Amino acid sequence: MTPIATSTRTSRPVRGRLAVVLVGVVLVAVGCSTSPEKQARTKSSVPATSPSSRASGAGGTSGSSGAGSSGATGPGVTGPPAADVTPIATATGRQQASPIDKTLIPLRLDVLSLKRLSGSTVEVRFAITNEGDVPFSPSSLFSDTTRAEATYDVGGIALLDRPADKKYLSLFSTDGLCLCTGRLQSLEIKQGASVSMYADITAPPSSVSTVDLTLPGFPPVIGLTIR
Amino acid sequence: MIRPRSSVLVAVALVLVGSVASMSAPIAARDASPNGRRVVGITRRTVEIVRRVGSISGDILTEQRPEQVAVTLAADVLFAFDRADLSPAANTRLSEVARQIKALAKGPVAIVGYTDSVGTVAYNADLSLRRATSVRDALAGQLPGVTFNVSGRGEADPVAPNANPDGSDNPDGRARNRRVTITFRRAR
Repeated sequence: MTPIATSTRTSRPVRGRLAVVLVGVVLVAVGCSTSPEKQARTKSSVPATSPSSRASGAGGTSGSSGAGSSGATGPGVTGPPAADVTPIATATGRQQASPIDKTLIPLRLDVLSLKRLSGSTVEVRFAITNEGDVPFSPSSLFSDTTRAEATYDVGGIALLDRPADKKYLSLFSTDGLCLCTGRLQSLEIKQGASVSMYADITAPPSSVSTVDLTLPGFPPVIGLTIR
Repeated sequence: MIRPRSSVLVAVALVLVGSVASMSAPIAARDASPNGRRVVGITRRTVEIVRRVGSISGDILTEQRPEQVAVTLAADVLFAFDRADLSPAANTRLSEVARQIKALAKGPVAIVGYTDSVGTVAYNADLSLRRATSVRDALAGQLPGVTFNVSGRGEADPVAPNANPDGSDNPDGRARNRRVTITFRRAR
């Protein structure tokens, strides 16, 4: 049967026994046959996801570096940031590598889409890339500081309509969960790697088509058009 | 003619059944419920979505649920330090709240005042009640016919920590706790 819709999420902690076994089998197979090659590939993965190579490969569509075969491209969170989507805007910031490691590392925020859904919601898709040379653990950096307790999600994202002095915040459900990418306490973005994320936000009135986007850790991204 | 053959078959069948039974015995033993029947209830869960819109400075925040609307006003915009009379800047925000009540509310409107944790509990309870009453008086002037329930909760129910984990003062957290909330049910 053909799936009617598909969603992907690359995340390192693999849950479920079957999945662990499968991954184990794959790893063993890879380890037996191509161990040196794998090491070489792991090392070369940093330049492989750098902006320059991304730009040079931009002519081709998503197939080039194995976008369809996530199991074969090694650690789940690596991979070219949305090779099939050109960012509509970009911001850069510097943040602590982790709550413990105070090394400041450069991060890049690529806004991929800003789409008005039915039910007065705007869905933002974006990618965060670690442009530093040590791993980055977001922990609660992107969480919503207006809520009582810190969360490990990107709920701190918001859309600003400055002329109307309005700030549209992320949606959450009455059980306290943000409608956005979460479980960031266990996420580590390796140097050069990128992670795709999403957040659902209360939509401005339909008369508003241009907004600024804010995410903790980055300067505001100005003048985005809602599609 | 048929008998010996069928008895052999029965014997084979018995052996098979016995071995299967002995193999599956530990599995059956694991199922500890009486009569071996296991019934679990299905919990149907539907959660509501909370939509939030505020001002960019954060001095007003509206949280909309399908059944209820809650507007939180920062007390620092409404009142001077330790005072309960409304500042001139409060009018803009309170007109905004009055518009929302007119457009969305059904039934009584609850106005609750809160303070930070500085000062005595009794003083804070009194200050928060006087502040909530000032807000009620201002809204009632714009909304004849609406019933208001007013209370002051003082430093109870903080929405942010008044102090940092190391015990030092948290002025931002205290500022967020100084607030007046206006809550009402939504007309459907």
